[in-house]
Amino acid sequence: MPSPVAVSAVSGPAVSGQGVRLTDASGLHKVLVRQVSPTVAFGLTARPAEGVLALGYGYDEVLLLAESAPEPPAPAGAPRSVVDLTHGLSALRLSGSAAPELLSRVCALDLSEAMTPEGTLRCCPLAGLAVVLVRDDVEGERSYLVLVDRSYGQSLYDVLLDAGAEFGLG
Amino acid sequence: MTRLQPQPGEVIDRDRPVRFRWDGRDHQGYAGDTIASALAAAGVRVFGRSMKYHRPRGLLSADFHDPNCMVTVDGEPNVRGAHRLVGKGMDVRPQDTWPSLRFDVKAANQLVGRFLGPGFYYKTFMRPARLWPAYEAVLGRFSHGGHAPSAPAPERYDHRYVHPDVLVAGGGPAGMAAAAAAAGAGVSVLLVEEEQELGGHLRWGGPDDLAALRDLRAAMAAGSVEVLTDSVVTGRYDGNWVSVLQRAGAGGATGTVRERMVKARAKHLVVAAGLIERPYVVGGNDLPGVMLSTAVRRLVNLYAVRPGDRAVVLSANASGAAAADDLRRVGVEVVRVLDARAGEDITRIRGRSGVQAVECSDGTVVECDLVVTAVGWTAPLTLLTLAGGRATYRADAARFVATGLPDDVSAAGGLVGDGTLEQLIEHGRAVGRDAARRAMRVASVLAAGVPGAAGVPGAAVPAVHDGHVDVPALQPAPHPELFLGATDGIVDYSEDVSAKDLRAAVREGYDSIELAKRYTTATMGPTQGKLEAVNSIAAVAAATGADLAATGTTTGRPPYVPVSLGALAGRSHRLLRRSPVQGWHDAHGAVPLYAGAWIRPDHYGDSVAEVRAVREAVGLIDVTPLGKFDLRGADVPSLLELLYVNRWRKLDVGSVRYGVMCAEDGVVLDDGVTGRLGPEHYLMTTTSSGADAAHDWMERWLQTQRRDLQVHVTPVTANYASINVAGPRSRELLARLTSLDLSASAFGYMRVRTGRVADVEDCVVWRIGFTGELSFEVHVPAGYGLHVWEALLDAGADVGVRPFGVEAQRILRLEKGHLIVGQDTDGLTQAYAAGLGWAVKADKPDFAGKPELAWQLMREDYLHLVGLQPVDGTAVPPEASQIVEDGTRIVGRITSSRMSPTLGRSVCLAMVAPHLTAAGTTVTIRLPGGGSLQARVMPQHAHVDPEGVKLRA
Repeated sequence: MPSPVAVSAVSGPAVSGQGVRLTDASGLHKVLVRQVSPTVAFGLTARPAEGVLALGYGYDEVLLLAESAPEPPAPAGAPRSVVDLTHGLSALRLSGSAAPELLSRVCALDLSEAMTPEGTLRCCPLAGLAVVLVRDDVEGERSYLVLVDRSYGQSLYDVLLDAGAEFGLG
Repeated sequence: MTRLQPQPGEVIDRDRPVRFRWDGRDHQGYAGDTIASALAAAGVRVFGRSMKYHRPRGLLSADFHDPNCMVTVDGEPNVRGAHRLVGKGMDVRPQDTWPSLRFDVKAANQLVGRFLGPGFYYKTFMRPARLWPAYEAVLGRFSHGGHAPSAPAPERYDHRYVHPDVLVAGGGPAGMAAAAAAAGAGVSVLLVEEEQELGGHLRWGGPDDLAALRDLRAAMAAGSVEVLTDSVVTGRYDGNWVSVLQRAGAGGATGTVRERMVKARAKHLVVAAGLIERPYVVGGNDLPGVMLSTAVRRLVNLYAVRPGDRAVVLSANASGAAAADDLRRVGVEVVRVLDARAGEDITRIRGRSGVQAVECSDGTVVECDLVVTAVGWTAPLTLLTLAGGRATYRADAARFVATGLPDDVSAAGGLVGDGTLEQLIEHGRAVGRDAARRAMRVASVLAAGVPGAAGVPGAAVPAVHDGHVDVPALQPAPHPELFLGATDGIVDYSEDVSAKDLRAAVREGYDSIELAKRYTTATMGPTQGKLEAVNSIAAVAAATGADLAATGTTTGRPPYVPVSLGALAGRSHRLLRRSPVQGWHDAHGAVPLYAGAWIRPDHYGDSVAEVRAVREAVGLIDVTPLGKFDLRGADVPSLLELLYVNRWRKLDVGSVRYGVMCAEDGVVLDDGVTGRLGPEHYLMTTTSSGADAAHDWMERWLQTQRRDLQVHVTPVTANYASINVAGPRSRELLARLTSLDLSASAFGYMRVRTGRVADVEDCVVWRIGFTGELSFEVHVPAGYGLHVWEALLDAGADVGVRPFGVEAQRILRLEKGHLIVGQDTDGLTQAYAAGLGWAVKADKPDFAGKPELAWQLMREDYLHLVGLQPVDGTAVPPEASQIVEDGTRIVGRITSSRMSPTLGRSVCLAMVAPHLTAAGTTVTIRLPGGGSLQARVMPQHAHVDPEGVKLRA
């Protein structure tokens, strides 16, 4: 029997339009680390190791994202828990100069350089879905990771695709 | 009216004719024409009929606010014909006329006019009440406005969120200057203009005005100002949250968006809304051919339309004189100019379907076909009063002005006062620089509260940020008060309210402006007071004997202009939560059930067969929506002891226990099973619909009352796909896919193990039994959920495995008497009432709900949950049917009810009064449609296998 392959909640293909691209990043490993002194402050991101993006997810929570299973940071002495959420969150990546404009159709947050620069994340509603929006530019190109409860993954994709119709996304 | 030779400032393109239809006939205009200007150029004088009396109406202001030109365009009702541009092939129809504009039968209303005084609908058509449907049908034919189309528009409605540093409402000279100046200071600027083009009154002005317009356009192009034309600021809310209704350019690249609601959070708002010209209230003032001076100037200079042949002008200001000059310039005979400042006046305007003559105050009668009035200006203060400003009356200027603006709102230009063009522009510039400075301060404050925010916008100029900007004073110029003439005329053109109506309202006791407004509906139409509020106030003041200052204004409320419901709604998304197996369900005939945000399979075509499969062989149900929580930490047992009514300290690793959660009033909140996976690792389940509330409940305790508890709660509902394998052959099936020892001795009832299932690691398997059969619940890392589901179906083909849905599960659990929190309990059901007293360990030192539950035990007065079977086993009483005693007294209700395939008869759960709980008692169920059923109380909740032999196999 071949080894089972994990399937994403998102069944739509990667798409692109005028100045914007949408891809499924749900396959990223996601590990939630909770301890009293988190290594990354709430609302900010960091790169503690090659290929690992650490999100300041909450007042005692750090979410580690990586292509391959990331090592949790050393315990800070206080009680700590590590929960694998790889299967619990869907993730979509929206890239391109028009990405903030597309997001402005469905998200009320100020995504300007002044308020949401590279290295920040925001927990906010997006078309009614509770998401974590991460500003994570790739090679100088504007890019956002949008995380949502796994079960809403297809709905999130549908929302962004719909908002992107105006930009020829599809 | 006819088309003139080309005019210097005209906006029409004579090389691009546009064909369209009006009232069933073909017409032609030019690109750039509005519907009204194209029709006016073709000689059309009557554009509609008034609401109540169906009097013919012509152009009054010839702009966005013209009340007499509401038309239906391609099925879209209530389009402002003097604002909407003509388009190729447009089908434009008048509204409020029957059968046609020319021969409007409803004009007969004029004959019965005296019976249609203000508030007539409060006095007539009242009795007899049984005729109301008939009255409604008749009155409906006469109701105002167009008809909503029955088919939805193909285009979309959309929203957009923006965060401009400065938002400028109004694109006339002051607004443009403010926008350019703010952009020059390095802040982001959004400029909103209600007309199709920027420029305000400069567009139809003289050569100096047009030159100034060119300069202002250039100044704006230099900075980065985002401009929205054919867009209106509809409201200003707390914190400068500003709503903008955008039409032009809303479509974006694909042009498929009809209207967009732009929701702006502006750091500073500049209102440069200019001035709106007021009509004169005098007999005959609503005849076609009576126009405002600005209407004449627009028609002549923007659209090259000759508004008439012989004109009489009543002028109290420079606009009247300018209109007279424009008319003379294009060859219209200006027969008489009455100088209102010198006391000259119009007594009455005569005509039937249009102006024919004017009676002047000196007694002469002048024949004419065009009457032009220039009697004063109204400052549109609504946005300012919404921001907290107060409207105060300046008798010297015959105008209301606003005072007391908050720090984040300012006003510029004509809205503030009068001056030369240079003065207005300079005022706008200063306000714009000041706005930029204030916006930057707000930006710093906002950024300080947000992690990682940089603070100061990109190209900020420090000097402007810190310095002080002097804004020159601008005062309203003196102007005579000219509101009401010697004879009664129309005050509110949209609502057909005359000065006489307002006087009558005051006489009947509605003597404040707010009451008179509501009683007569003056200012309540599409123009919302812009053209008629001040005249209404003047009419009420005249009737009460008070002055305008004492009479005051009505309260302005958003929206500033009518907004379509589509624009408010924006896009609609069906946001669904899906299990990893949902695609399989859809492809295999599942009928969907929408439970909260989840889509689930209700059944696959035959829920009875599904029930039988579970009782006789094995079934699979996807229970992924089950609330699941990962609990870690040394103090998890303490949390469980606190939130569940039963005991948890001695739960060992590998054990599972059923728990009931009560709120502090003892009411059952949720139930589920919790298993211990490791020394400090538990997996809790809750009901699917209660998952979010249970999460909230746990976090509330951990973050407020019990911060000492070392517990981490992580929701993992969607992290696991959950599959319940149920039935006598469930062990046999599951054993084929796992190396875990599932035998009765190795894996007892209410035990949990983790291991590999269908080659997937880290699955959690426990033995529980909602359906009452031998069953195993498998929690699979969600990405592999579909794989395991299909593997189970493949492996069990020979043992008769089939999927079963929520409906079959409901039947199965009801046969076993297992309650569902929220169905068999309600917001008042405390634990003992639900038969959950066995779970309540009252000797625990403390837990949520303990005091209330102790008190419940001392009482006898609550309903009890019992098993019930109708005497007639074929009758299935509807859920929520009442149980009654002596025909009248309600003593309970049916909470769950189904036909049981296993027993071949109906089975129920019900809440009944304490004196009816004894086994064997007969109760009467009142059916919703009438009639009743007898039913017998059972000794226990379970109808099938009450001893639970099959569960513990």
